[in-house]
Amino acid sequence: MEVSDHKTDLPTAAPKQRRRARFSLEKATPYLAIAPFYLLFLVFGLFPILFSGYLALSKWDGIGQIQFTGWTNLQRLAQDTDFWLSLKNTVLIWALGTFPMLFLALVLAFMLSLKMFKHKETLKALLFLPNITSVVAITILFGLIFSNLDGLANGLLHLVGLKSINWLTSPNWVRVVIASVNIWQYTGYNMIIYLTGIARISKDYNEAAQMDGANNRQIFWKITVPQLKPIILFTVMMSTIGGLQVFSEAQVLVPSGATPQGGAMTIVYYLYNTAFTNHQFGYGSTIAWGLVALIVLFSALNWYITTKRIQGVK
Amino acid sequence: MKLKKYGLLLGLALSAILVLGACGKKNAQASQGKVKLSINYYNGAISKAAMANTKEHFSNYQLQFKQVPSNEDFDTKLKASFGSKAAPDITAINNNIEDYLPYKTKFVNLTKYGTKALGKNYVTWKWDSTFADADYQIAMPIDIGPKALMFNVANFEKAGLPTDPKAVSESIKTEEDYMKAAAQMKEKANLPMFLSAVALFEDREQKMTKGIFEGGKLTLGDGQLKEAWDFAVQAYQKGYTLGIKAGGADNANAQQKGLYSAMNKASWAIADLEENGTKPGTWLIAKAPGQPSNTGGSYLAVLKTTSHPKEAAEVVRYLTNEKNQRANFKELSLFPTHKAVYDDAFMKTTNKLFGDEQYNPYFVDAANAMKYKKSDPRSGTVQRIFEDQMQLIQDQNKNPDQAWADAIKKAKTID
Repeated sequence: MEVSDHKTDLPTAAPKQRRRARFSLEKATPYLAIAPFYLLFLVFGLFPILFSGYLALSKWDGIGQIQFTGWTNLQRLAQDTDFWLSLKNTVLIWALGTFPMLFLALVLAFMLSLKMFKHKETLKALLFLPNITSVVAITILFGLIFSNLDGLANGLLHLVGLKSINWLTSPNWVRVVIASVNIWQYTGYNMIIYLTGIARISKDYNEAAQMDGANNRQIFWKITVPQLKPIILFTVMMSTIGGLQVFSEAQVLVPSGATPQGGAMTIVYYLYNTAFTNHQFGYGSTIAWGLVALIVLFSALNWYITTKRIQGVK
Repeated sequence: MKLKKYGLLLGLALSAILVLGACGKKNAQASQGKVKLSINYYNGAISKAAMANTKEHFSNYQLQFKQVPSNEDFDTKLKASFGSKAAPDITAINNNIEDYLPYKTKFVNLTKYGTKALGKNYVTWKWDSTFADADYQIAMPIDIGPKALMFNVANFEKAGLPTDPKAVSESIKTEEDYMKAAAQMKEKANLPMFLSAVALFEDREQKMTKGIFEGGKLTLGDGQLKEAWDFAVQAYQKGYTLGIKAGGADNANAQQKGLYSAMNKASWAIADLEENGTKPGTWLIAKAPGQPSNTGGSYLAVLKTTSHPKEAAEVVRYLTNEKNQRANFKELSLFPTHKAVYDDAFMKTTNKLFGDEQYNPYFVDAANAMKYKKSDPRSGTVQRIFEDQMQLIQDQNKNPDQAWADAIKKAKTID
């Protein structure tokens, strides 16, 4: 602004006009429109990423001086049994949640694609509903259902004459409960993805199979699943990235006394405790970068499998 | 198409003008000579009545009370705001004041504004905890959480233990008495005395008179932590614990049904008992066995970034005075730190949950008997390591010796 004001004092008016012409509102508008995203990304995305990279090699309690410590944090991470146990918990929870969920989603999507079902849109909406519900609210509900003393789950076990289970304090069961929150929340989401995939499969295959006398089960296993392979791998990949970051479910179900040996401590929960409860922001960032490395590793593996090993429908 | 684009731009410009306009208006108001002070607090730290009193008293200041969530983010946000323009003038600090004492320069030294003479009015150990060194006070105390023994009347009766609060206070005086009563509870009523090994361990940790660190070295209270540990392990192994977690539905359920029999709890746990739906007269209050102890209690501090340290200190002094502590107690059951509040009427306070029992003397006893011990900021982290191991003993029957060894090993890595 000031520059152009300055220019008006000069007798040469022509360059000024050219300047004006160069700043075209037409051209600037799109940039203005996308600017909010980039500005926010710069402040809340890029800066924290770089800063946490620096913190990962430092020691900081959140107020005082940041002390650069070099590789010490990384060495600590490699020897930190809590980190590796948390990784084990995370992977177990991921496996317990992802595979049943994707299978269920696939079956549901297949069934919804069959002609015998009515009110498909309503069913789709209902099944998708858990996905847009707050994870904290869902988890509180699951916490009540699976509470050790008088939860609904233990009530049902009593009803059929079984002993109650310490759902939230036994390492194996707490993983199942956390995984079940995930299953409940993401089945509908994956079902919608599979439905779009199924819609893309040529009807010729199904009709030919039906003419040959194939039943629905055979169509599902021999046509739908093979045809959907790339999409299934996509959902596995997305679920892996999400599954490695599981946190809220564990934190809300086991708000205190979560331990790596106790089953409920996931990597992100461990990170959160280290940084925000124990105020070790440096080592907390190191854990975060450990998680990044793991996600990159899993993604690379997925990418290799999807592009080199599987040739799905084009 | 073009019209649309310009319309969008126009809209953006308009909203920008509106936003800027709103800011301008605020600035204009502030510049009318009034001192403007912002006060961040979390829910339950200051009563509405105290805020109203303060606003009325300082009608020549513009006071902005802002409630912020009291979760773990509170500290993170407060720390992040140090030195920035976004920092409030006055902030509440929770009972983790030891985290801030090493950074006294981030806070206004309140002794410069004549607070030293006020010390005699406040509970000594709480007052002492606000000093980074002899002449540097970073905060004023709002409330404390002295502890007393809450016991389940029906269970005590079943076990043949006394049920009158005075008799209970007389018969369960030491930790040994407490454990003996637990044995009797198990033997005669076949009921657990305690909630859990973890809760019992935490209770004993709060009774420690020596620090986890002394002079910067890990000392674990010269054996006191191990004593606490062994006490909890013993109770667990003998079957005196119910074994559920303190927070959540299970504990509410257990308190309602009397699934366990006694707990050392801070004064504010009365509100928990009420919220958890226990029936009047099912739990009563007695003097806590063993060392006096405390959980919780907030402070108010003035941040160094304020432009009005003198006025902010005045407000902090006023907010923590006798009148406002009475208001806090009435509205939020915040246990006062101002000793003048402990008058006859206060001692005679009753609550329909405990019938006509006058229970405040037990809390006041604990408040007066406590001694100040300076905590190292790393203490909390180390204590959590031991509590986590106790949790494993409780949930998975981990070998206690192994658990202790594992905890020690991990505690040594905290620096």
